[in-house]
Amino acid sequence: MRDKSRYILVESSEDIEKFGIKLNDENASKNFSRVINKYLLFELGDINYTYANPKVAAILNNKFFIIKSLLKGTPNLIIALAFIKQINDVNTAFYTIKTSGTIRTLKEYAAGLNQNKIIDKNK
Amino acid sequence: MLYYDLVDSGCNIDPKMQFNLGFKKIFKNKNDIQIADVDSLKSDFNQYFIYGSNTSRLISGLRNGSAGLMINDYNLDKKLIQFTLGNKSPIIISINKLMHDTGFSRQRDLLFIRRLIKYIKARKIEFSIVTFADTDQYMCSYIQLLEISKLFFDNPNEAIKHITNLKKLIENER
Repeated sequence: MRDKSRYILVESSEDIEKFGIKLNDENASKNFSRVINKYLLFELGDINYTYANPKVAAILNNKFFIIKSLLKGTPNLIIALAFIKQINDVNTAFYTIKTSGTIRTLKEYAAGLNQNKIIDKNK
Repeated sequence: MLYYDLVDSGCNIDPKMQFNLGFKKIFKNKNDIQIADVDSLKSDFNQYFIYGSNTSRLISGLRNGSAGLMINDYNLDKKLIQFTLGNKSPIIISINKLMHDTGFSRQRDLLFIRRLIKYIKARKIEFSIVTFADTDQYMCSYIQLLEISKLFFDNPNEAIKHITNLKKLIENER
């Protein structure tokens, strides 16, 4: 049976380019995945990392990116993202904005955020 | 569900950031709510939420009209909690120390918070969980605050109640 995945929209407090990632590079997501996974492994530990199996699915712009993870490990991954405070000696914070089962929903949501078109979700 | 958070005066919150993080309102120390350290030189804590390590000063502050207690070092001071119960003062639990610590210290913080919450909950004292971040770097989105709060409860569904009741808690004390 196929493992169910979850996509997480994350906002970085610092520009992603400051972590040494070139956004124009076609392998930008893979490179960023390699960088961030080191820190996620440290926060999650081997076993929880296996449950989450995180990968950067897309970098939307200099602040927003989407992480794909297995459904079972998503809660732990969200906590791990909150605990990461430094990437490659750059102080940063990762805020989990939204989670969804499809990447398309998150892309639309992020586009709305950038254009201030999102309807107040608290209402 | 409306989520609320409380941060220290060092954070710069604009409405866009507040919206992105998913909170209805992020209360800020000195603007929306008054929070003071009892170990400071200040002497009048009337209508202040107070925190600190000196139990006798905390009890004295609560006796003299403080709005409530804020716990940010997670030591279970049974005498203080009992006094809070008698005084009907609410408690705010800050996870700022947990966010700053790493490794074994963080793991110990988690255990201490669990123990503290179990004790407070058994005595039916009103409490709320907040980040009380000192800088933007230590702020959390509501999803992160919820997932962290779920670690403190036996039943994860209880966590929602304690990150949505901050407004009620503050306004009751005014």
